[in-house]
This record gives sequence, C-alpha cells and structure tokens, in this order.
Amino acid sequence: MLGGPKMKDVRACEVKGITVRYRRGQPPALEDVDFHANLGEMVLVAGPNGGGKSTLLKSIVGLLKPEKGSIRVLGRDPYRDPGVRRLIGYVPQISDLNLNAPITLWDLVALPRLALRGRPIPFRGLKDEDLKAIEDSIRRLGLEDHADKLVSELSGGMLARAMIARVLALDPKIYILDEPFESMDSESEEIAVKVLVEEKMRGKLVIVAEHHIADASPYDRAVLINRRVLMEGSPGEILEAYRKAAAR
Amino acid sequence: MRLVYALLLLALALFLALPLPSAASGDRLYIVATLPVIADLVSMVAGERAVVESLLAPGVNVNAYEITPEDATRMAEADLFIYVGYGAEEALGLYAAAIRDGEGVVRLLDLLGREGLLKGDNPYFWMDPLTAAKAVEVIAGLLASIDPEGASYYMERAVEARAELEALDAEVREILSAVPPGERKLVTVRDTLRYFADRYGFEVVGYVTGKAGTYEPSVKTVTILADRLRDEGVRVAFIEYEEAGTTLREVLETVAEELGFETVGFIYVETLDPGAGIDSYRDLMIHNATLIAEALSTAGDGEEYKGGSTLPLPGPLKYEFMVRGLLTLIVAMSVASLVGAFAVLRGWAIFGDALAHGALAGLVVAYLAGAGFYAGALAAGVLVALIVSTVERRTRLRADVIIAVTFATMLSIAIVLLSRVGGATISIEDVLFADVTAVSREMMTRTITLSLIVAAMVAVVWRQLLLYVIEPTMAAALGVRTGLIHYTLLGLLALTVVTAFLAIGYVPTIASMMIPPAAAFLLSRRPSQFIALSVAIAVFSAVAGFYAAYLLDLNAGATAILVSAAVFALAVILKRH
Repeated sequence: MLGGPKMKDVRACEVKGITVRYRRGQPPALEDVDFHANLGEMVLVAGPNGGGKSTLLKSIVGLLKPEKGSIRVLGRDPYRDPGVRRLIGYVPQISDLNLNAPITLWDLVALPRLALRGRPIPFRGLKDEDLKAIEDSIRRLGLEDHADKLVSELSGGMLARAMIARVLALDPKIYILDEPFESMDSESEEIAVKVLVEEKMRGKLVIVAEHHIADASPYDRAVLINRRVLMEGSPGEILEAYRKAAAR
Repeated sequence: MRLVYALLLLALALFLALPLPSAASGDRLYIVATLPVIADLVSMVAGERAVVESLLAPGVNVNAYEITPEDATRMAEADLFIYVGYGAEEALGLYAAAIRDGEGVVRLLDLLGREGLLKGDNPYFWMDPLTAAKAVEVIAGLLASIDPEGASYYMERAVEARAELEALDAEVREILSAVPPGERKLVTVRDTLRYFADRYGFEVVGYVTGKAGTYEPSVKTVTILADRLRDEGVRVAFIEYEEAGTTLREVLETVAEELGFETVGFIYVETLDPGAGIDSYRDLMIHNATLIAEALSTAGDGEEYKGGSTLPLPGPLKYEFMVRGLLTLIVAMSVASLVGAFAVLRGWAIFGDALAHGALAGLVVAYLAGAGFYAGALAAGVLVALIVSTVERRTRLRADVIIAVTFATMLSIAIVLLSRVGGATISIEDVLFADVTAVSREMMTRTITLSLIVAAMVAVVWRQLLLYVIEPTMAAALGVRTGLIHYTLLGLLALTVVTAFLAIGYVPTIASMMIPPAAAFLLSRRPSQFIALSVAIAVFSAVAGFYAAYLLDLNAGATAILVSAAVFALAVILKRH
C-alpha cells in the first residue's frame, strides 16, 4: 500500500448526493441519493419496481456515470477507475448471458475468474488455486451435481444460484446482488442466503436489492428508495414501512 | 412532411429534365454490337449507311460489365443489336432480346452456324481473318435484308472488306513466318486462339479453361495442364488483355513461374485499346501476330528446357504451387473459423459477410486509385467494422440489421464504381472467387504471417474475449476494458476476412467463419472444446475438400466448404432433439 488510509478505515462504499439520468430531458432515475456501507455488513436496498434500486447498484459497480455527486468504492471511483471493479462481485438483475452458448455450469462459474486471473494460451488457463476456488463455490451453493450441465439445461433456480457461485469464486471484497432470489424457490434462497451471511461474517460487504422481501432478518441495515432515499433504518422498520406503502 | 414532398418533387423534376441519350443517327441505321471488335467488323460493311457502336467501351471486360440505364437505352433504341453468343456476352444478348421482345436481335453464332462457317463450339471465329471475311459477308446480307435500298452498297462494301481481310491474312502469315516449326505452340488463359492456330499452322497446347464466362479453376484441370505444358516443353504462354485482372491469369502465371516458362501479354481478343494504338480489328490482328512471332521466335534462345522440378508427393502435390494452395487453404480456413467461433458466440456470424463486401468496395477503390489491393480492402474492412459497431452502440437496432444494411450498401458501392468507370478489367466474380488452385509464394507467406498474428492475438486475449462474447455486461462489471475488447474483436475480424478473402476467395471466407463454428457449436459442451473443434473441422474440411476436388475435378475452395457443410448436416442429425 502507498501509505494511504488502511482498508478497515475506509468506507467500503460511499455514495454522496448522486443524481443519475438515463436520457437527457427525462426525469432522473435517482436524485440526490446518499448511501454508505461498511465491510462486514449486509445491507438491504428495498423499493418498488422502477424505484432506482438497479440504478444505484449499477452506479456503485461503475457501469453508470452519475451527473452529480460522487461515489467511492474502497476509496476509488469505480466509473473512472475500472480496476476497483475487480474487488466487486456483481450479480445483475438481468444478465445478457448467451444462454445457448456451449458452456456448462462449471464454465459459467469459471469464466469471470478465468478472465481476471487466467493466463494466455501456451499456459494452462487456470492454476490449482483457481480450480479450487471454482469448485468450492459450486459446492457451497449446492450445485456440485449439476456442474456438467449446459447452462441451457439448468432450471431458473439453479441458474440463479450459479450466478452467485461465480462471484463467490472471485473472492471479492464487496458483493452487489440485484434481486438475486427472484427466480429461486425457498430452498435455493435458503442456501444462497446462508452463503451470503457466511461471506458477511468473513468481513465482506454484501449489498442486496430486493423487491419481494420474504425475510429481512439476515440484513443488518436497510434503505428504502424510490428515486430518493425515503427511509433508512433497521430491516424490520423498513419492511413494515414498505409493506404499508405497497398496501396503499 | 412538406419538406419531404418538396424534395420528392424536386427529384422527380430533375429526373425528367435529364437529357436522354440519343443515337442521333438521323436517317442512317443505328447498329449496336456487344464487343468493340465485332462493332469494327460490322462497320466494315455498314459504311456510310449506318452508325455502328459497341455496347462495351474499349477495355471493359465483359465478365465485369454491369448494364447501366444509358446502355439499356442504347440496346432498346438500336435498329439492330448484334451479339456473338457465348458466356457473359451471351447474357447481354438475352437481355437485349428481352427488352426488345426479340425484334432486331441477332446472335452471330446462330447466323454463322447456319452457313456452316464454325468449327465446334469455339466462339472466337474472328481470330482467323478469312473466317472473319465470311462473317462480314453474312453480315452484309443481314444489313441488306433490313435496309433493302442499301443492298448493293453493302454487297460492294463486303467485296472490299474481303479483299482487305485477305490482305491482312497474308500480312499476318508473313509476320508469323519468323516462328520456327518446333516453336509453334500456343498457350493462353482461355481457348481464344483455336481459329488463329488452325489458320496459321500452330498447335493450341493448353489453356486454363475452354469454357466461356465465369469459371472456377479446378485442381485436376490445372494439374493436367501443368503436366501437359511440362511434357510439351512449352516456353511461352500468352495472356489475353481481357484476362488481365482475373484469377485465371494468376493461375497461369503461377504455373509458369513453377515450370520456368514466360508469360507474355497482352494479346487482344474481344476488345480494342486505343491507348495502346489498337483502334481496329486490323490493328488487333497485327498486334497479336507481332507479339506472338517475337515471343516464340526468341523463346528459350540458347537455353535448355528444364521444366521445373517436382516434389515427391502424390497427385497434385507434386507441384509446389498446389502444396502452397493446400497450405493456404488450411491456414486461411482455420483462422477464419477461430475468429468466427468468437463472432458466432457474440451473435455476429453474418459480420464476415459485411466485412467481405466492404473489402470488395475497398478493393475496387484501391484498384481505381492504383493503390495496393490489400491496403484498400483492409481499410474498407476496418471502416465497415467501425460503422457497424458504432451504429450498434448508438441505436436500438440489432447487430444483424445493421450488418445487413452495411453489406448491401458496400456491395452496391462496389457495383456502382465498376459500372461507372470504364477500362476496368477487374472482374467481380474473379475477386469473389479468388482461388487456391495456384497460390504464389508471396500470397502464401502473407496469408500465413497474418494468420499467425491473428492467432497470437487471440491467444493473448482469449479469456477476456470469451467472457465478453458470452456475457458483455459481466465483462464490464469486472472492469475488463470492454471497449478495447470490442474493437480488438472487430479488428481481428477485419484482418481475418481480408487476409482469407484475398487468398481463398469471398465465399470460402465467409463460409469458414460460420459453418465450422456452427457445426462445432452443436457438438460442443465446453467453450474450449467449441473453439478447438471449430478449427479442427476447418482443417479437416480444407484437406478433405482439396483431395475430393482433385479426384472429382472440382473447385478446391468450394469443395472444402461443402465438406464443412456436410459435417454441419451430420451434427444437426446427431444432435436433433
């Protein structure tokens, strides 16, 4: 390190007053939003569809450029400094994965790690430690019996777990998951939540956006957003407020 | 909307105001013949009573010619349209017959055939001045039947023409007397000198093709030709001016280089070339006779004929140029399949098509500008890649739509350029079907070098490339420089298409980018397996296709593609659900 602030002193994620707009002349998807989270936390981002949850997460990953405000991830700007994205494990809500491609679940999990840490062709692409990380991740999500299946042969729930396994294999500092449980049955969700809680306990930051919230108990903190931050607090409070709002 | 209507009206007004080309022939007959050389023969009898024009400007290759609206008007307005009736030239006659309902359209081969003036199916009767004289008499009869008042005039002219052509015959014979009997062997690109050889005591020893029109050289025919030329101890081959820019010429020159004989150009057959002082049929015959006499009477002076060396390999591979052809085919198809595999995963399978058409337009521009083909094709390929990817990133249109729009546009640009510019001896078909039957050392070296560069680049970026083509968002989320990877893939595609395109031709190139990856896609479950299998199918297709082409006397590139298509069909049957 270059004598800068130590990792534990740095806010893992610091969003200050960002406004994000997809098209000029249209209302912003996010307006003057503040958000922060620390390592060792599991944070829920709740809100209605179209409320800006995905926009916030994409901005933190560095895929969108806010027109106002600032974002720091581990002290770096993820839009201008894509290197910091290597420390983030992002599971998008909608993936543009080519589902018909000749790739197995194993390959799906291995590809991001291969892209970041693999070697050029005369060498073996992945080292033993890489293979171990990939296989561990598959096992932790209970997918070891399906590793040889083509992605086109996987059920929605298995594919969704595989999406988590692949970011797990990257061993990132921060997990950012956009509605990861949406296509999971309760058993899959249970496995996935357990893994995410384990990661939190290992000192990782886990940020999850959810729309249908079955159980808020794993979260340490929650924010409710609908274009702006409406509320911040304990998951229970947020859940109650969100359900009341939804009922109206 | 008002502006649109105003523009449409303006366009209509401009269109109507354009002066239509007119023959301005007044009371005289207006005769259009397809070829400049035929027009000159017709004008020998037509004299003052007719305006005779040739449809093709001097120097234009009939295989490369595209009909313009102006030429269609000339075809329609002529009192008489004369064509010979072979190959691409026959298509012009059929076109004229269609727009004129068959009225006033004459096929010379029919007319002369009825008079018993032809030998076999060789169309180049005018290469013998005495046959030309008889043809001129027949044409005089034809003109008399259309313009009875001028009958005696045409007959007088025909008698004069016969005298002139007989004098020309004597002159040609005198020029050719310099060629010793042992050297009276003719080799040409097409079988154009049969009448000439029969008249002046020469033997036609070989040609790349005896067929008129677009023709793909076959491995077997070229091997047999090379064998024959070696056995005959041929020292000189003649290139027709009409073939100056074609693949067939390259084939003959490659064989010549290998066997150690000389190629001499140009002899003129169908067209005239005022720039080279060839203004008439007479000039053409004198020029050809002089060139042939000089080349054959000095050929191999004082040198013993060696006939080149051959390799101890079976079948066509005893000739080094065939080995080069096979190697080039294997390398070009492999690299096209390697890069094509990534393009298929990205949903860009048809991209090769757009690039190849773009490269074609670049080729024509480069040709017209006198620049290198390769540079022109590559520049146009890169331009197409940039247009497609920029439009894809800026609009909601899917890549397939943008690619289709771009390649149709680029192909049209190529055709417009070709139809607009006279003097082009480059033929679209020849560029489309560059051929591996005979590959020069330079071409092989360039193909292999560039293919190695492409393969090395793929080896370095394959991991990021793979993630990017399967899931672009994930690549971006991981901080992979997706812009860089995107343009790297485009660059690799452009480089590959242009490299393969100039070596093995357009159809084998775009087919190799799609068919082996498509078959491998069906047969694979893993990405590495998919890519390796794509390349393996390409190599197998190249080798099997080359040998099948030799055994069955077919074109090598096309046969190799059919082999890969067979593999694909098999994969579909094996993997059907």
